[in-house]
Amino acid sequence: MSFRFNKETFEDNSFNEQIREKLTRALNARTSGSASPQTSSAVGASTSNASESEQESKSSKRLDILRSGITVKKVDFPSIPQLEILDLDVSAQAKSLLKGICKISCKDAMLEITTEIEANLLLLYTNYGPSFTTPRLISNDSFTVPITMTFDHIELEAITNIFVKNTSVGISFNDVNLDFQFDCSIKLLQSSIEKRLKGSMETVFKDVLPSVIFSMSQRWFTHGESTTTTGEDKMVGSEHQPHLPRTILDDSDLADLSPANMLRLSTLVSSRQSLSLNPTAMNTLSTIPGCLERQNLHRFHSRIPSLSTYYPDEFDENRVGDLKMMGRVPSGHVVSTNHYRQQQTNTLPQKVLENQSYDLRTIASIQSRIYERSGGESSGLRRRKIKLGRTSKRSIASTPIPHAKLDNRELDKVCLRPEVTPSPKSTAIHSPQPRSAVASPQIFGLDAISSRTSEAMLSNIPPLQLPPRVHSQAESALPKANLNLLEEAHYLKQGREFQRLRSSLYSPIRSSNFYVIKEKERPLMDNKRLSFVGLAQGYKWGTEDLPPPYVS
Amino acid sequence: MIDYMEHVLRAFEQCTNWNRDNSYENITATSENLLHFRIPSALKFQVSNRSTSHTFTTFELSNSKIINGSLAYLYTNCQDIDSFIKGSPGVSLHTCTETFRRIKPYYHYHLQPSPNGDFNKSSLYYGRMYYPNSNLEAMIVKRVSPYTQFVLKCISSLSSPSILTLYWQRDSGRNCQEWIMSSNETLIGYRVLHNFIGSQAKLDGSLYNNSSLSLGGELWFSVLNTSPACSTTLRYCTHSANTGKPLTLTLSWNPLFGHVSSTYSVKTSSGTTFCSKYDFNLYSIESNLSFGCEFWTRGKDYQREKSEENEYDVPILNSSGSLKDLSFDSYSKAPEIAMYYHLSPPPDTDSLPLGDTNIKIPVPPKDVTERKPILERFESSLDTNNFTSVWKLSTSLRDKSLRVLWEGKYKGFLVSAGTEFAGSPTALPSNLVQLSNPKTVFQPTKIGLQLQYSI
Repeated sequence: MSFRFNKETFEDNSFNEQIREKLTRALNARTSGSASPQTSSAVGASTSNASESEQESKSSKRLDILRSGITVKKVDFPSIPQLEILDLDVSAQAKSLLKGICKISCKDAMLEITTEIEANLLLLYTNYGPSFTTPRLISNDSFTVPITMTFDHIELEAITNIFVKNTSVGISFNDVNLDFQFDCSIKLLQSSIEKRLKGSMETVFKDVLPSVIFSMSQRWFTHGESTTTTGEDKMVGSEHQPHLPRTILDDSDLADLSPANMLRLSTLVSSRQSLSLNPTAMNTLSTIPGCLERQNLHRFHSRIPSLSTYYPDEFDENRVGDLKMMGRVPSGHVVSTNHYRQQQTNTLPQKVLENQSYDLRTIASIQSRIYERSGGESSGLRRRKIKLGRTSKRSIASTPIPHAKLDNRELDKVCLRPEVTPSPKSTAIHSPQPRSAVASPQIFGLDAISSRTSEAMLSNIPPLQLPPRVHSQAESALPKANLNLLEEAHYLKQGREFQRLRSSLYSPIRSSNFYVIKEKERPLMDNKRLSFVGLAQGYKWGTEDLPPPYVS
Repeated sequence: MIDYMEHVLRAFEQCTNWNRDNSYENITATSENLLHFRIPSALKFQVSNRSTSHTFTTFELSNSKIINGSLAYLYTNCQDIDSFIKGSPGVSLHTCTETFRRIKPYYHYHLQPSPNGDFNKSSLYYGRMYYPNSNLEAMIVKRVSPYTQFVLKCISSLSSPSILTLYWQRDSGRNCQEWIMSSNETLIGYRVLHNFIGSQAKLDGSLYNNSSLSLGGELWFSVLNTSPACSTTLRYCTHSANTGKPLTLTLSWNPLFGHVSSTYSVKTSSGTTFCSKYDFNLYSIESNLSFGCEFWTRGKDYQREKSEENEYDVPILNSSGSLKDLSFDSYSKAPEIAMYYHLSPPPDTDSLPLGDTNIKIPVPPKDVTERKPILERFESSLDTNNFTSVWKLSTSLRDKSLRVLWEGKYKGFLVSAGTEFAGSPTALPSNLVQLSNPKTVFQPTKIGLQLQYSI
């Protein structure tokens, strides 16, 4: 996995100009209060203990050998910095969203800054010492010397840990390799400045940069008051925590980020919250063809039309326990075996038969859908043989056969090219992956065609009807329950398009803030009865139960 | 406005015949007083009194941010300091403001030791306590011998390190040497000032010698931050030949940083003084031009206080050499002799060759006697005028600043009020000018009022 900077940003000179302006502004923001650490610490640190004890000015002034602002003359980044993501852990814990290890490398950069310093140190001493004990010196005027510092061949290589949380971003620099050639116009000071600079680099990477990024990201994530004030005077850290260094980044920096990248990132973030790879289409299993997340597997199974999923209550508790456990079991083998065992039983529960609570039309529609999904090729329609000598229950199951046969014939006409689409080749029972067809665009397209051509033919398929218990719980889904199968698929497709549009409109970078779309609270579906494909479409998946830990 | 304690200290120096102007530290005092006068930065109120003839106290309140104050005590065993110190209702404004320094030329025959020879080892002890921030100031001034003085100054405070500064000064009249050691940054320094005496041959042509030429230098070295400093200064004080107006020229050079500054100060009339200063740096070609001026306003009743003024102004004037206890009459005669010393035979006539009979006539020529009243009239007009207030203005081209100070007497109070206008303190680089919003270029940076009362 890797990360690339936009090349165009670096190709023209605008990036260097921008950096130069930002640096100049940031360096000069501090000159009024105290000297820049680079120059003052080098020369004037030893005289800094002189303080004012005179009555008029008790405020202890700091020695300031800077006589003018700091100008950044030249910034040059000839090569594009590289950011390599070594490890990305999209952890599923509630608070933290992302953990990653990155390698940042930057080569051959160049920086040249100019300022003027006071060469007459005794003047500083006499100015800031108490006047009572300071002897007056004659002709002791200031003598400013321009100083130019050039940092050449800056090579930075750092390994960073990045933690993205709901409220902030934390970055720690672990292994920093910084190398540069330093050239000072005053050769006398060069070695001492260089020594101090390299010493202070450690604190920059250990303390300054992480705290700056942290406080800045806090402002992004909360994105409350930052819209009211301009970025110029709202520097993080200067208001609440004066000891923090001022942030160089402001809101205008965010405008440079590619919106497409931010959209992708926010999609990724919200997919972690909703367990869906498309955050806006909440109730689809997966939008990526041929991909299914394991923790959603049992939900997928429960959507596959079968009699057992339609009457889940009637199965014994072990079965239900298996069903719930399935997604949580880390081992793939266990899951698959469980799944296999469950899918084999496309039978009516015994209780249903005993209570006579089944509906023949429902069973017929389920069976016809099973057949429809199978594509009608791999398994021929088998007639069930009814022996009169046995129980009369089986005879009930045989009644929808004429319908099913009719459907089969008609569908064969319509779905002329099932081999074009990859999914219908395997059965729904054995391999669940292609069954993502529910949300797959190709399948939708196919279904849409079929819905148009064979509308009249399919009109005699009995609409799905819920048992009274189920119906009462699915009040909200009632309008959609009347759709027949193919119309429902068509509706789903339209809904997806609508949701796509919505996701593009409500892009995460709204008002140039990092904007995390908050997931709506969805009611918990406490049982699996509503997971029937046709019915559950309007209903929402519960998100309250913690998603299973991510298994790579 | 000079603080009361500083006033006492100067009185002590006059009383013990210590010439303040003969120190290299004050070689540019005139231009400093006219250009860089101190402006009070807050509201300040000072009450002082002389509790006994040897002890003095000052109580001070000021409100810089918070109300704070100080209490100062001074003790001196100088005998006749009483005559030099007056309370604020009666003091002359000239003595309590920093103004043009009238430097008396050094005359050759003053090299002779003091005729009366009664030198007292007088000393001065001074202590000051600032009470909100618990700083302590202490100073000891001791006259060790007729030519030497020892000064100790120290500051003790909780917040900052204590500082001790020692001065050892030796002023022989012709040469003044000082050794200074300060514990702050371990600064050590040496100052020297030399007064030239025009030889007889050079002064033959001139009729009236009241000029003085001094050359001084200083060397400093701060041990802790290894930074040296040095400078040398030439000072020439004279009177205008026609009008008798005093003028002072100085030329300073700092060889380390290539800084040259020249000042020209002139007292154009008894109530006005002008000063200009030109700074130039040889290395960086930076230059600066400063102007300063003083306008004195007279009170109406100067005739009434004329005799009183004279009495107290005399000690200020006779601050040179060993003319210690001269009354007004003897003072006016003694410089007269001194001014024409080059016309009179040298004091050590034995060293002269016997054949030299070209002894100058001791009687001054006629034009000298004509010219002398001009000068003396001017001098006396300075002293007899009862000045009640003074306006001080100074400006500098490079700093773009204007400093205004008013000092005067009001109902027995010594009032000093001033303000300073300045442009932006730090010059931003050119690419930042448009970034920073242009503030008002001329804004007051300092404003203050000081009230002083003493009995």
